[in-house]
Amino acid sequence: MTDDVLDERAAALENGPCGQDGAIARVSGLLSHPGMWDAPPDLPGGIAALIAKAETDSAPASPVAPQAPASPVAPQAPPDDRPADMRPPRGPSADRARPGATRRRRRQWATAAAVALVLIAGGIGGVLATRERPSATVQLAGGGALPQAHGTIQIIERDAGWRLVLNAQGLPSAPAGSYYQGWAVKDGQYVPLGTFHMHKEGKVELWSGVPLRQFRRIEITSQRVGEDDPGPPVLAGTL
Amino acid sequence: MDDSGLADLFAKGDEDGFAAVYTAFRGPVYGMAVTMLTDRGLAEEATQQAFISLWRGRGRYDPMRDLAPWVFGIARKAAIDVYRRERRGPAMSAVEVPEVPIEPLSTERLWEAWQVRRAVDDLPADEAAVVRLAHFYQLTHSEIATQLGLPVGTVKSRSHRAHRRLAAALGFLLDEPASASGATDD
Repeated sequence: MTDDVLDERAAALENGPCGQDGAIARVSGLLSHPGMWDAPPDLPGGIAALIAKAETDSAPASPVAPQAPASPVAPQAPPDDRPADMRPPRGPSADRARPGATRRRRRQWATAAAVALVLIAGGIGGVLATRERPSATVQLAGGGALPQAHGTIQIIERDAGWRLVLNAQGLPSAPAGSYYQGWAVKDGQYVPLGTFHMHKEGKVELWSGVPLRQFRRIEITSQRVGEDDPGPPVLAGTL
Repeated sequence: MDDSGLADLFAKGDEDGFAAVYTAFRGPVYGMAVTMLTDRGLAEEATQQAFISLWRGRGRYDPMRDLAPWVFGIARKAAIDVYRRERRGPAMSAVEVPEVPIEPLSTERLWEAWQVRRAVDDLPADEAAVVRLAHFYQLTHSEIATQLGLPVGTVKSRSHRAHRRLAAALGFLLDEPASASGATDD
């Protein structure tokens, strides 16, 4: 490859593809992907632990589906096969005659009620979960002073706007006098999404009132109190 | 160490050779898994599984074959296994769920991602930082200069050197149409 060709290709990669050069466009696209930049986490225990795992887990995974957990319903008494007239009378007197029966029946009713409650709650939860289903998830990679940080933002469309749930790893508590801020970014235009401090670990809720599909990136920046301009990014991802 | 040196080392089958292969390929294996699975947790799992498979399969490796496509094939299979498992979801019953026929990204596209990741990993750290900020964070030269605390001229020269290095390392990708690939389907 001549120097001229190399320079031409380097410039195309650096400045973005012109025309219909598919290969340059594909490589440029890949260079903006987190997969080209994310560092894999260190192996817990190092190579020796990985080899030990490979040696000990040599048996293939069982194709059998896992067994369902034991039913929480109390064990049923065996069916009474005797003719009706030979069965002990039902009712309070019978329960008194068999002191365990009332407790067992109560337990069965309580268990049935608990199962019904779980099913109802599950149904409601399912409806809520459907309503909360993210329309997109953005992968965030660390940058600047926090190259090892990473996370995701789930975007959930709600009546009032877009609810963003940030789940960040490796993002330390903001130092005194500073905080973090989320932004939707496009062509130098920054729309604020909310601020937080991470003084405790957990998910962070941000909100957007603008359609995020019109933006190219989401950034989380480190901000100094009193400074309004976007600070250095600590997390960023492509929309 | 180049790939042929790595291949010879790996073919010995000992821990040192495996460690060298792990160091050389952990980035591309993980990067390809992130590209395919778009989830870092799953990508970590696929990466670990890929290297476990590499260790177990080291006796079958023929050092006369190129090492990179062989590692790529194993890594791709590990990522696809994770992808299929996630697509299938947790087993809810003993009823067999039919295997999902998937090809989330073509082998050629994944091979390109693999090669680009290897080229990026080979960049000197100071040049890689500039390329990362330019492409991943979409920062301008002056923004990168502010971010790194460098003169703009230094950022420009580093950026040019880095992209020239990438263009040279990826020449075969830029020469060929997308369908051409050194990767093999395993």
